[in-house]
Amino acid sequence: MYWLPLSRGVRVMRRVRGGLRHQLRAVLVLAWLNGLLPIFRSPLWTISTLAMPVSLLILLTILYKGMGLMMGIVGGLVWTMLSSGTALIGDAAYYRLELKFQQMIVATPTNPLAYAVGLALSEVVFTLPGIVLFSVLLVIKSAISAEGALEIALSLVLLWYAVSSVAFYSSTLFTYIRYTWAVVSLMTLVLGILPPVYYPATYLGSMWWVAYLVPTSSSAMVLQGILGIAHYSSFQLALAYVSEIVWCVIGTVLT
Amino acid sequence: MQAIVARKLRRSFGDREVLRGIDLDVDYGVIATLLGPNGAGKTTLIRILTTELMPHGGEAYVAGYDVVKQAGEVRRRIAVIPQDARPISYMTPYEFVYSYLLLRGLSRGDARKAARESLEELGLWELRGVPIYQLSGGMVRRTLVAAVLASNAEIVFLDEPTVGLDAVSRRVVWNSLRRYSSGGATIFLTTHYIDEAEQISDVVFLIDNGSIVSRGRPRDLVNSLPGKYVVEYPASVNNNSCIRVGTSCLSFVDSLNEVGKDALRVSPKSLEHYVLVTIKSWGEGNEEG
Repeated sequence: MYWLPLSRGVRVMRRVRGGLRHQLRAVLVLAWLNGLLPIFRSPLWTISTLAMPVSLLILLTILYKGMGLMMGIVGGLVWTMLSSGTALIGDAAYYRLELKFQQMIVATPTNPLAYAVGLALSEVVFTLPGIVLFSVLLVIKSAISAEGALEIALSLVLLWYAVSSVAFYSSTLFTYIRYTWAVVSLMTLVLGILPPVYYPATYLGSMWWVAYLVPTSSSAMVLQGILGIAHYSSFQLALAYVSEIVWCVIGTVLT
Repeated sequence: MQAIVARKLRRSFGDREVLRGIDLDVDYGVIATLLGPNGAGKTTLIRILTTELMPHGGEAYVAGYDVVKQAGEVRRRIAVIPQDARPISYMTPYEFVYSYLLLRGLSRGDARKAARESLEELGLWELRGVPIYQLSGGMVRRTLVAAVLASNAEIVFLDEPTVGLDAVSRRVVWNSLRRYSSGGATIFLTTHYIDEAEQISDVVFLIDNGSIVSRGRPRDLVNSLPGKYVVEYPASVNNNSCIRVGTSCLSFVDSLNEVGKDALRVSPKSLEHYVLVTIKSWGEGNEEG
């Protein structure tokens, strides 16, 4: 309920929306204010998030020609999803610790799940230019079937969910905003560079199991397998999916 | 039904008990102010009443709903500006207020109308399209106030809403708060500006070391002090009727003829003097309060 002013000093109560419809709308409002609006306010912010994956794409293409280009595209898609998760850590912590915006939203009909999903969606919206760029390159440079495209999309959605849910939980652990900066850099290294995201998991040899420890390399394995730039058995690919799903469950439980 | 009720409310952080059994009753349609030194428990109390923090004992009801068991119902009926809150800086005042209202569940039409009315009332309508990072500190703070007052919540919690505002901006906010409460809503605020509490409050609660030590209408509290004037002496002055507060000593007199030669200053008694002599733990507070 809220008070609706009829005229100065006279109020009547009206019912506010607090059901599922409101929660869905709240998700979109958050995606707009934290995802779309920053792109319009300063497109440079978005372009800056593309700097690293585009640099790696160029580097790999120069070094390894066609195969390097495909690895760069796969890595770019995974990296973009990862960066939406790491950005979520910073934004969620910033809104909670610095702006106290989260506390303001707690005292509204918008529930915590809608708040978390809204922020996570906003990060995807913010990285949309990167997703579009690498998706267009993927379509141009590969003969991918509709089924394969769906499978890639599913794997990336699972990755987004897993990374975002863990990231949102992680953001609640910080008591000082500057600490997030270091963690984001380390997460990028641990999830984006060290595991087989920009190289085939087969390069790991006897350490193959490392690829299943993090959702980024599991997702990259699925993409590499579908595009035929690395050869994995059905069991290995199934295990990659299981790894992604397990991370989604872990993220859900934590959040 | 009362807007806010707290009974024996307790909360600790580690070994430190921040709230030690708060009892509180606030009616609808009033501005209630919580005054107290740093670390007295003001912010902790607001965080519990706004369902952000769980109490460790006792119970509290806001708009008739239990803040623990019926948090969802409470959240539909309240709005809050936390301590040190700031709006999102790349947004404009209009975008911030409008999106906040959408998150509160208002329809787009109502949100547009309420945002405009509130921004006009707080003198921000002409600046509605300017990014918040280009606004002065006072305008930024008023943007937050505009957002919560546009919400039409039954009960509004404001944790130090006028920090950093100049005299004119404070009065703009005071007028808005008064107009808002006159419509039947309750405003529960904390402030360190005792003159502010005296000016706008219908009822004042003094919190000290986690307990409510005094409550009442500002005028009644001031009238409960003896004499007409307060004479402030250095604490070193040996005077039995003097109440020591920090490095000063306050003496209450009926006539200016009673002012001693060591007096530092003389002023009519006020709520500030009542607070100074009632609070016992000046300077003992720490961060979490």
